[in-house]
Amino acid sequence: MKITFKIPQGLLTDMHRDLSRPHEYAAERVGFIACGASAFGAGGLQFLGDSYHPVADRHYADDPRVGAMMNSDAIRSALEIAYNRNVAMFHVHRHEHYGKPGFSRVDRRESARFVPDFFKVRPSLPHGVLVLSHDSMAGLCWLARDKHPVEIQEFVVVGPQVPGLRAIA
Amino acid sequence: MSLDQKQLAEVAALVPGARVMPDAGIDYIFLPGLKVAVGQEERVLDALLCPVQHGGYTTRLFLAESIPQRGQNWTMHNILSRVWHTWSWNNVPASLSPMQILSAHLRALR
Amino acid sequence: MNTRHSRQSFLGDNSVEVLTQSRVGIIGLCGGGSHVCQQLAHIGIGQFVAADFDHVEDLNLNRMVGSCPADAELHRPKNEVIKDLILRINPNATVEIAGRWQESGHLLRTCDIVIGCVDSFTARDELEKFCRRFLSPYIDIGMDVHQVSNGYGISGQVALSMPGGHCLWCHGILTEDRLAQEQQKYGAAGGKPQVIWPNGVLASIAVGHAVSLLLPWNTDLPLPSLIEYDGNRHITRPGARLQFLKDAPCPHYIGEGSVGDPFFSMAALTPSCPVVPDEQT
Repeated sequence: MKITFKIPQGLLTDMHRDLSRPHEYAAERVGFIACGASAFGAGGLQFLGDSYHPVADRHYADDPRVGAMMNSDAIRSALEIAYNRNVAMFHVHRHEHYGKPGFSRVDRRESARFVPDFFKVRPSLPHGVLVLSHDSMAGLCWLARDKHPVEIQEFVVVGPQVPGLRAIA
Repeated sequence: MSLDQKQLAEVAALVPGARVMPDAGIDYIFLPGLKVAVGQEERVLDALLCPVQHGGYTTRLFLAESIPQRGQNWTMHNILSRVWHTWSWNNVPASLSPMQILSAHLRALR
Repeated sequence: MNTRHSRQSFLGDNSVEVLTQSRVGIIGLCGGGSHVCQQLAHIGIGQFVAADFDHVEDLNLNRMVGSCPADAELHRPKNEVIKDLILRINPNATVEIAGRWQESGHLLRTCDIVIGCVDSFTARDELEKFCRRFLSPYIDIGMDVHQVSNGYGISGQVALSMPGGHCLWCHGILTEDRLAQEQQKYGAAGGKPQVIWPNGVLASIAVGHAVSLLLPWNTDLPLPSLIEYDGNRHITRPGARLQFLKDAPCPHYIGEGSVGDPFFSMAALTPSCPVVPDEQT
């Protein structure tokens, strides 16, 4: 199944701006992007970025072992968004480099702990995680609660002055 | 007109599964499996109620299929990424409750 | 070596690949749409979705690029005539044709860009809403011939409606009055004067917009969201409203929830993957 993620340039810029803000004790920031979804072509799937929801300052756990750790309130807030709206939720964080980012072992382990919870409140849609770099992004998507995540193959940033509508591999 | 929960519940009592679906500033009411009386016949169709002004109509009811034996000037539309059909039937005021608006439109198809 | 696109190499080393892989939807295939399709085929766009429910008639021959008297005599579907036109120019293109675009949303949502060349304001409104829902840049063209005190005036516009940008309502192309007037004629919008050369001007601007979105050849490309055309003076200029819209975000497509297919469910996509409906949780 081909999976595509489409996001307006303005939204991506807003996300980067928020992820760049310093935090009192967390080394990095995280958030969630709420997305629409649709079938795409023959058997494909498309996500469409709609709104970004930064994790509130007070919802970070003070854990020096990792760059950022959300507490349960952060997850609860994100679950509430998924419950109240017909959206697919993707956790977002950023690696500070250029080029295609990858998910670390810690990223994958932690994601597997909370992403399946979104199926409790919005089981009809997939959910997942994105990792940004300064000029690229990667993503994993859970198609069902009990399935292993699959990679998002294509990212499309929509906006003028983006060099090509498929700016990000 | 903003939809309040009581008015929506009134519609949902008639059409289980009725829910608000927003699109570019308009709160449509999706009516899955709406029973539409057409003469002696009863058709079951998904429907979309627009309880506010829509393209020159004070309110509008869209159906998943046209009913050629009723109404005139049926047109095809794409709303909320689905195909809908509607006919020329105007002046059902948006000041009525959603239930009243729906009833007024359905009356035209009876 | 294939030199077909050597004169457009300024678009970039990978431009042939980008154009070949790009997919453009064109809605309305007569006066404006036929020009658009012809130019996109020449440039090397690889994938087309071409939608028009109508058939060629004699009165289309004054402006429908690619049509001929035999098409009118045979009452050929416009989408087939345009498919033939595209494939004559670029035999390697993929052309999916459709009748009423409203029924072809599954094709349109896969397009990188949608270009609307329709007569009706209602169709414009719904097309733009559809494109915003699927985050597709929408380029709309329209021309008009109207009576003025000393004869006739030809005018038109090309609007670029980008997700997050100004829309056809911001630009005054769509208004409640226009939609209402059109509905009073039960949606009929045809029969207005149409000639080939203004359509050509507007189509060329639309194609330029499309290519600049795919392969911006200059970092200072302005891409104004509205270009107005004075067909009597042969002048195009950025829309007069743009100066007032500069610092005002579009108020018509705000708020959450208008993105994606609201009826989509994984159960429909993967029947083998049973999903508990949301209502039961």
